[in-house]
Amino acid sequence: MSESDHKIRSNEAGTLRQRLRAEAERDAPAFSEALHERIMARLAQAPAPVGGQPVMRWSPPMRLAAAVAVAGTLAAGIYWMMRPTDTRIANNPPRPTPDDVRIDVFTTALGRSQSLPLHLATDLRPPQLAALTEDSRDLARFMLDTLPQWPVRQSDAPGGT
Amino acid sequence: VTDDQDNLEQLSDERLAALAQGGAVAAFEVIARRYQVRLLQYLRRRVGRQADAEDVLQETFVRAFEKLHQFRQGFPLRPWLYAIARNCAVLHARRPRLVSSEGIESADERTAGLEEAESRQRLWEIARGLLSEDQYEALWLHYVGELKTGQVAAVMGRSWVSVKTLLVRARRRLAPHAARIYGLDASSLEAATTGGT
Repeated sequence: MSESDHKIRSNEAGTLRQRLRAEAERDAPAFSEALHERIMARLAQAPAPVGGQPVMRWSPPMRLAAAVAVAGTLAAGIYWMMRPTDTRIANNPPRPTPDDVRIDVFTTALGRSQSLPLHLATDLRPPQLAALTEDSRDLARFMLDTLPQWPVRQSDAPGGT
Repeated sequence: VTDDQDNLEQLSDERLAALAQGGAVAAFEVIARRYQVRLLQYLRRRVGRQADAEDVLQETFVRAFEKLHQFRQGFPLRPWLYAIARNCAVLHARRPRLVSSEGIESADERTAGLEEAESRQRLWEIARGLLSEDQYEALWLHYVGELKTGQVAAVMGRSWVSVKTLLVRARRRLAPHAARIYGLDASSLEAATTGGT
């Protein structure tokens, strides 16, 4: 189909549209003030719109923007998790734990301090604790309950005198 | 008050709807005034009698007012109003009433009606006799209601494709009559039936 053919056809369709619209307008009823009054009188008896405040809903552009934001966040998260481990380690080197922040993990976990062997109580550090699962904690609890307990002297501790 | 009314009449349908949602009845009154003629004309063609159309129009505005909180801001108001009007017309048609033989016409009477409509150059009357109810309604909503194809689909509760098909078939069937009445080229009209939506 040539461009001129297309133009002629579009013109014909446009003319049909205009004629149909004009014909409908010729037949349109006149505005009736009486009918309007009747409608408004009926509306006065109708219950007010529920809510009373404009309802804010998500329009299509807002939905699209939200979807893009969620997808972007998701993609960034996946990239962060999937990137090479070397890079991750290089970016997040393990922090050294100074001796003065050593914690008594068993004391913390079990609430017992008096009867624990000192070397057990002092040799575990937060990074090691981070690797403990609930199961290993249960195992530790079991062992401590099973092993005979004895008073600890400061001289028994590693590095003690 | 008149100044306020004038100001309201300058506002778009959607802004008026937002104000009405906030409790401004005057804003809804402007909407009712603005759409009285359009919707009444649509309903008159759907339900037939003027008195019935007026009743359905009143029901339409009452329902729109009550359901105003459900109108989504950011969407056009016109298709929403047409959809409510259509639902009210459908409910009205379901009500039991006496059926008269006046509305039932024979095939001969229909043909005579088409010829008469053509002689009077009334394409909408021809469309009434020639097209299916859905084709006629889709054509009306599209041309006179000035709704886009997607909006017509939403009003009629159909898919975009099915409304597009209705429009194409309606124009194709009307093309020879339109050509005779308006002096248009029938072949061009038929070929152009896929455009203009």
